[in-house]
Amino acid sequence: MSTFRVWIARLAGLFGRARRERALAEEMASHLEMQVEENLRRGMPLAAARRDAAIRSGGLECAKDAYRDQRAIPFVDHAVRDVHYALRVLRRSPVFTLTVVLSLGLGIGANTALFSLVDALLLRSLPVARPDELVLLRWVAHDGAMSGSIDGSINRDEGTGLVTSTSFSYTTFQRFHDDSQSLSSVFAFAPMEQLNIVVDGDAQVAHGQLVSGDYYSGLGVTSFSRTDDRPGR
Amino acid sequence: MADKTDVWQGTLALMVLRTLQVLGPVHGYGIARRIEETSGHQITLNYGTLYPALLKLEQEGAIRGAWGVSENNRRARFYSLTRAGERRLETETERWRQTSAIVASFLNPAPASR
Repeated sequence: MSTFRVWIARLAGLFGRARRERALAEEMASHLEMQVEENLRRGMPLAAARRDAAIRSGGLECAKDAYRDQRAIPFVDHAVRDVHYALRVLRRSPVFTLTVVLSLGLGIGANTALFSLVDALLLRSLPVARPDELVLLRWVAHDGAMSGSIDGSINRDEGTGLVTSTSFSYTTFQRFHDDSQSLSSVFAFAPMEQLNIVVDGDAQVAHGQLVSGDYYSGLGVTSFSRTDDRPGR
Repeated sequence: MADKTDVWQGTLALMVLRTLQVLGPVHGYGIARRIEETSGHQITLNYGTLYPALLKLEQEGAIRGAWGVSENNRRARFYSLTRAGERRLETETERWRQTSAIVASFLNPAPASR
């Protein structure tokens, strides 16, 4: 119970430091003066009386430190004093402070921005119905085997001499689409570089993508109907 | 005592409590002087020993401090015993008597053993 009381008192001792410091200084000063008066009553000259009182005190600053350690929780109290000291020093050199604050701010900001990007691109799954069931088909061949007949993007691995691509001919796609057993739907997409779009007589340049009719239903995203890719529609 | 300024931890609290019981409300200087005189000047209390001990007793609720004016019109903090302090003085006095009696019985050679 008594230990609990002491810790409550020590917690309280962390606050109102300036007031407590003044009280402590006054209490010790009054003690010192009483000792000086006593020495004078005993007939000591003033200088000797003062010196004797100071020696008996055992060092005021030392005593104050011992008192502070009992008053509060030493390591918290020291941390608070360190922070106060740091703030005082920073206030004295505003240019340095500004530089530090700006570089820290920029650093933290850049990190946050980069993480948001990585999070959106790599960590989060795609905003479709069942992102973990999506597969991307690609073919692998020895150099020169197939690439000549395909108009699309091709990657050549210099180490193995293999070429890979996710581009297929439209006929191949149609076979995949019609004969697929394991996939619930097969759809295709291809980039269109630039488009002119006119809305209400206002022309704009846009980036587009050609997609097959199952694109939206396959992704589980509701949009156009599956017959929109038929000729004449 | 080997060192004049040596005060055992725990015994100082007892000395302070007893001083306050005898003298009533008194300031730190008064407590220090009284303890020095009662010990026949074998104990010297510097501030670094006395004030943390007073503060600890105050935190434990055994004593209470209040600002007042000394006989020489000087502002000082006067300490007095609380109820809890009186009870603690009683039990600690009893414990100290027992301890010192036990130690004394070991140190005093019993006449029969001679």
